[in-house]
Amino acid sequence: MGETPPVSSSRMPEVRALDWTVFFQQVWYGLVNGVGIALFATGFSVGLSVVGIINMAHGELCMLGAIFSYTFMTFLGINYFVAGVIAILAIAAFGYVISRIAVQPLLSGDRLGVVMSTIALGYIILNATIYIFGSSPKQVVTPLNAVRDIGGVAISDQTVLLLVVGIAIIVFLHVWLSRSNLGRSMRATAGNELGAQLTGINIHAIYHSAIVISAGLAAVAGVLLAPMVTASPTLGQPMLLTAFAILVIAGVNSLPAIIWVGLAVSVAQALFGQYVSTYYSEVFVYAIMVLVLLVKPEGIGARR
Amino acid sequence: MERQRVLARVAVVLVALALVISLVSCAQPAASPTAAPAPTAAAAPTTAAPPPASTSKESVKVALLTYRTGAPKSLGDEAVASFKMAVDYFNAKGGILGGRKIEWKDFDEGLDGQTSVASAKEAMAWGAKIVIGGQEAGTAEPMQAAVNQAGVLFFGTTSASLRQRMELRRTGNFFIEAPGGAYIYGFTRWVQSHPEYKTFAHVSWDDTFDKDIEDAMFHKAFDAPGSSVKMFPTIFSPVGQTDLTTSLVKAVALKPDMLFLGVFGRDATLPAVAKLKELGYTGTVVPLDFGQDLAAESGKQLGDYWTKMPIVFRDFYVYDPSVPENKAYGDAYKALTNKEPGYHGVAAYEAAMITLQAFDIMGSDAVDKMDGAAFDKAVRSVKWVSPHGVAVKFDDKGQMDNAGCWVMSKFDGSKTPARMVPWEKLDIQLADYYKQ
Repeated sequence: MGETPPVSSSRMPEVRALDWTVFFQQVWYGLVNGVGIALFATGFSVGLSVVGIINMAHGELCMLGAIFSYTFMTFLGINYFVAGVIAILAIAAFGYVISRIAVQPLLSGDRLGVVMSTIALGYIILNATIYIFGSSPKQVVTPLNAVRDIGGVAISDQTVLLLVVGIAIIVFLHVWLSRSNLGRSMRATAGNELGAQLTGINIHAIYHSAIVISAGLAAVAGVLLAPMVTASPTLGQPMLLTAFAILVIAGVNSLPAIIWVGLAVSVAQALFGQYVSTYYSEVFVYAIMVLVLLVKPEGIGARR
Repeated sequence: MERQRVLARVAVVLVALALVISLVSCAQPAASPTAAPAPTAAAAPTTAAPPPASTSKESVKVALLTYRTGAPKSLGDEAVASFKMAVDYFNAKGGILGGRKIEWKDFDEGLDGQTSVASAKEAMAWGAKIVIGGQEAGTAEPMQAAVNQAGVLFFGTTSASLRQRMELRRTGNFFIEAPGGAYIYGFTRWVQSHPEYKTFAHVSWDDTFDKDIEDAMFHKAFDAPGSSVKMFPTIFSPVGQTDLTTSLVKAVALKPDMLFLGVFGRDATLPAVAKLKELGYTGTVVPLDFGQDLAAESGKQLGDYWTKMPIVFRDFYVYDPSVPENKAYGDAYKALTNKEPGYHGVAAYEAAMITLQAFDIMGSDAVDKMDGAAFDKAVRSVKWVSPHGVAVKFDDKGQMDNAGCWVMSKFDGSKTPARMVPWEKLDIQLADYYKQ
């Protein structure tokens, strides 16, 4: 392929200490991963802040979004976009089923029961997926497979799609929660469940809506990420742990903070991997989380 | 604020749990085997020793340790399917040792010594007379030592590590010798014989084999004075990491003619190759783990999307269909799994077939007592033609010399043979890799 670095000894030199092309390439992937994880974390946050549940099956819902889009493309012969939309709707509908079966019946008791219920659900989804679809990663082929060279930085169309759609969805959600009746009801329920009930808000319907939206957002993340990382049964689990860290750092109720924390942490993680240590780049995120817990435990985006 | 506090606590617990899980072993339950056709007669042992008088009708328990979790689980699936074929073959004939059925179970070798040792202990507590397995030095060495120490029989299925081989020889264990360092030797010569390759980069997990053996041998070959291929410093990632984006960005920035992916398992390999495509890399990609099975399956999936990327993969444990035993094994494996057999399957199959024949020769008492001397003698008397066409030879240290041939293949179907050499002939300082 193209030019090669000069060879002055028997060993080749490493990449230059500060190669701007590499720097911006890492920044780009940091931004892309950041939006992906922010989208995922936003869905998680909706479930947590409105219903007050920690949905441990959220990663599996994300994974299902990716697997379903692959399956619809393969078996229905439809393109990535149509398959993705159907997958998202299917997972959102599945969210309603989860709400009816695994969440609502347990809400009257200790919320720990709901957490345990979602852990069990996660295992069931994961193992059912492996049983039905196999453990091999599936390549989700997107029509947006062109790679553009912008100043030496490789930018694929799919990463642009993820970045644009991801941010648009989170911003839309933020506006919708502030201005729509349902959104305001959700926020009221999140702020004061009893008060919301006294004002006539049907909190069960709100819970259903929140879990459906949460599941849908997980699926959106899965569908958008799948062409870049392949659709595999283990796609969602690592994201759940990272999302926890992002939410702890940002604060549960602050969607704008989730976006910028997701972006900042992912970019910092990529640059840490590039210039400090690839080995400890994941540890780096949790180190930030611990630091935030020590300094501002309510999250840096939280309003007092 | 209350929810934030709860979330923070859960996050801390989860992170702590993840750390604990990575340190403490977690053995997995046995996979439920599916129906399998018995290997054809051609896959049968070349000689059948007369079974000794049975002293017990109790089943004989044998354990397989292989990858059951994590990125390389698909390789473990090969081993489990093949192991089951071997056990089914004997059970269909009425068992061994005059009618004793063979009971088997697979355990997770994991990616670290703690997991493999815990799984080995679980296998021994289950009642295994022999533990078969060990894919990589970092997991196999401590596991093998624990089994030896407990006085339970052991048969290694070491995949490729010179260091592991040295350890197995030192401790007098039998093992299926994979082409290991020899394939790297052949591979480096193959690369150097192609003038289009002038620069070489290696993105690798930092497991024992990839780091201490493979990478060291790459540098030895490519950094040598006069080498036509120059190698960049290797970019290591933690073993098991499947998101290699940061490392791959670093590697692509070097613009190497060839990029070797020192990771294994589909969960790591396929996303990495997809990422290289996304990064616009146009050099040759050589995944460490991209055998014929994986390539065939992935090739179907990937279609035209990948055709512009020259991927070279190695069928690094070729079984030759022209050899009857090979064909029988290959046909049975394909009937069971609908895939081509890979190395991990072959190694587990051979280890099981040899072991179970040896048990039949040993007799029930010796098997029940896990008599190492009797096992040693019995294994040496087994006659076995390897599924990849090489007659079994055991030397005084218990090694099984299996160095075969392998080929470099491309998606366009072209193949270039690259014969390996016995590891003793390699110009490498084994002491560098293993200090006795």
